[in-house]
Amino acid sequence: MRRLDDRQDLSDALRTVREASRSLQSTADDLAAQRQYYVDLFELAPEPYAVTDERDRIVALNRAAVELLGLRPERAVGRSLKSLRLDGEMREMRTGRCWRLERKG
Amino acid sequence: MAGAQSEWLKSTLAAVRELMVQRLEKQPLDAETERDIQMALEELEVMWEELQGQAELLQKESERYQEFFDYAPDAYVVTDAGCSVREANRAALELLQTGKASLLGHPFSDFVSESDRTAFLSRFIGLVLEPAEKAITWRCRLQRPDRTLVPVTISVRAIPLRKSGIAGLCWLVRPD
Repeated sequence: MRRLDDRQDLSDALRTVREASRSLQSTADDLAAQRQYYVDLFELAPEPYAVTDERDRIVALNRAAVELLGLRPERAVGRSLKSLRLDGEMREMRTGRCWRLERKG
Repeated sequence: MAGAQSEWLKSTLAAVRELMVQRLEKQPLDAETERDIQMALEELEVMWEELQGQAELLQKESERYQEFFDYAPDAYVVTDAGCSVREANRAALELLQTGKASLLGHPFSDFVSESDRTAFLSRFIGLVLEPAEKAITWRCRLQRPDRTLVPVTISVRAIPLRKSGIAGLCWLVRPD
């Protein structure tokens, strides 16, 4: 990317601004594609996963988990796994946990 | 949003504004033109702030979902259309008893036992040529770098790879 200095004329300066805007837009597009990629990896995983916070309350569910629960995600988010009669194998995250869900009993 | 780029954009906008003010002082324009220029600059500033906010949000969400993938209790490996490993989560590294550097960029087939490798590759080619809608599952043995064998069930499905848009494969590997 070019730097701007006082010797450049105004049209050159505006060209730099347009270049910068295009670069920012392109970064945002790349980030949107990257976000979608990771969302799909989680959402479309064949196993039912739930992510819980440090108080074991659900913060995210993938599609397989929504099917297992038979509840709309907004009705499950914020509830504990225990209250939904769920259990499973889990891994500690930096904050919270990621669970592969199983029905209790 | 990369901090350096964000700073560069801010300083560029400030420099353009400064340049315009200097030009207007040297060569005054009529009030209407001055107002138009001022408004155009303000619009640009708002647009940049919005884009920057949007980029920061996308970055945060991307990291959040990447963490879900990385910490899933099951082993996942993502390969490209040439079977090279693009990503592997923590459970996969533990299962294969290897580090990211030894796995990323290497053919996933290198981690399949020699006796199962031909069958693995023929299934892989079939999947790349004719991606199935549902995951395909079979049993085989993986081979760790220390040459110990791990019997596993593999479940694989096609996925679009980020940016490139080229189809890749997502492998779920469960130890038997």
